[in-house]
Amino acid sequence: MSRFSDKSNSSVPVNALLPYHAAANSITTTLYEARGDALASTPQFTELVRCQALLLDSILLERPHEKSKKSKERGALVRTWRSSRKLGPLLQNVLQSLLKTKDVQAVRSMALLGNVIGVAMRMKVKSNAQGIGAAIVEDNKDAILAFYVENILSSKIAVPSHSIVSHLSFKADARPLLTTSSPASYP
Amino acid sequence: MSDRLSTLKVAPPLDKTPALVGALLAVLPRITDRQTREPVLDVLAALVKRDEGLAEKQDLGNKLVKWLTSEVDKITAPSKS
Repeated sequence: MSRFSDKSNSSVPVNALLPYHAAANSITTTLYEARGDALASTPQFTELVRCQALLLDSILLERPHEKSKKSKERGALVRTWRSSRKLGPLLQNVLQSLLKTKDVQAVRSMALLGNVIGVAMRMKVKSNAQGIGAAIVEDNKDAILAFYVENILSSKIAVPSHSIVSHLSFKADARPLLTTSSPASYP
Repeated sequence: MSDRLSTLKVAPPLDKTPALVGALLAVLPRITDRQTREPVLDVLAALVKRDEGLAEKQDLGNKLVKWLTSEVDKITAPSKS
């Protein structure tokens, strides 16, 4: 049975999620600093990416009754960007781990995926560091396009509004790159 | 609490580390203030880094991931209503 459902627990206040989100990002960067690229091949890495995706998705869920939610959302996004930048070349593995998700789990990975792509597109390219920056998106463009087509455009379940925003952000960030090299394949 | 943690100058002995980590993890989810939370995360990160460099690891990093996974599955589980 899947651990995920299309009905997320939006009754959990953002304040209760933020400590876990901060911990997930902190643990990921700490383990990366300690273990280096070897972290990507451990089962802990997959679990950390899954936790980050679930927490960011839950934080961005609609909560009409929560005031001052926007600043907390912004804080969580800033932490996600900083943490993603620290991962450097490992962003490729984060991206690939997210692209392997299916069905509801894929929809809940969308928020993190959009942000990881955004960070990758803005990451400075170093001539001696292969796979940094836009090259990460370029290397995975077919899988990214297939993922968005399958899980957003052709989704059989209701896609939450914040996932749509992530999709639009993805289009703004990655479309120029993707359309330059494969104009016919972008929906 | 943040003042006390940020002025922690002496590394805790190895045999006390699991208890310290357990105490920090017990209190972490209740800290809603970011400025208070950061020193707790910094101490946890420092303990994990020290452990990763030891010959006889206490596996703190993997234990933290296990704790996080279990908590996240609980808190983000589908609502029953």
